[in-house]
Amino acid sequence: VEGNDRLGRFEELVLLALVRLRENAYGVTIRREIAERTGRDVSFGAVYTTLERLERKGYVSSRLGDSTPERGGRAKRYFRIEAPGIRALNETREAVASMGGLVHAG
Amino acid sequence: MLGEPKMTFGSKQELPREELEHRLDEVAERLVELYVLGISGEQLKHRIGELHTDLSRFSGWTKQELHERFIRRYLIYERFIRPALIHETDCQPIAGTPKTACFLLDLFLAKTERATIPGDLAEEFTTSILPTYGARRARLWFWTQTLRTIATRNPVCRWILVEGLARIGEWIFRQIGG
Repeated sequence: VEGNDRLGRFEELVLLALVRLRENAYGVTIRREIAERTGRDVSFGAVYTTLERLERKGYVSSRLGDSTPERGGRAKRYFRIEAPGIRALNETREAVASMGGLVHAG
Repeated sequence: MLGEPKMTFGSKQELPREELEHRLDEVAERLVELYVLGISGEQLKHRIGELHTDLSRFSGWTKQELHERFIRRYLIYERFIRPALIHETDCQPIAGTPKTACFLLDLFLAKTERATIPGDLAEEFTTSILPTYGARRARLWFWTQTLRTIATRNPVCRWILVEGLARIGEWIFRQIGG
């Protein structure tokens, strides 16, 4: 993970949500997961903008799913984290952990 | 299912340009409807060919002009008419959601997102927000989410927002500096 490919804070949160949700990761569940665990009220627009960016980088993939009555017949878009995404996530977390070590040492 | 578009124009030589223009609009819209509803590429090409030949012969328009007119109609159809048709056929309206907000989402979101994002908003509205906060606050939540979503997902709105904030920042900077 170098230069512009480094994960931002929100990108990291979205990827972590995908890891936790596994096969059930779509807009509603991703947003809910982030909101419940961080206490941040995020918009669907922000979630989708980040997912789109991550998909462009090859970190996540998506597929159209089924629709349900409470969605008014509209389809869900399911997201899945891919191997480069897991790698990027691990490297970012290692970088953060090493910086955290400096705080303890200092 | 829609019927076949009427491609014959009767006594075309006597028709004024406005009338021809009106007929072209009608035919172009019918063609687009057929295209969207699954007419094959070959059939569509054939129809467009007939349209070009007929109209360019009697109105003096070039193929390029006709093509541009057709494309413009197509874009208008894709942007405004098709989402409305989809609402009427595939998607049922969600009880309680603000209709204007739904219309704005259909209007400003990209084609690929018109099903997923409004669907997510509707699901969250129905299953979580409405039972927890009641109708009034849920509608307010829906509107807030709609505006935030459009501001972040529509490139023009995003540009206006960023440009506007930059201008305000510059103005504040000048006021402080001057």
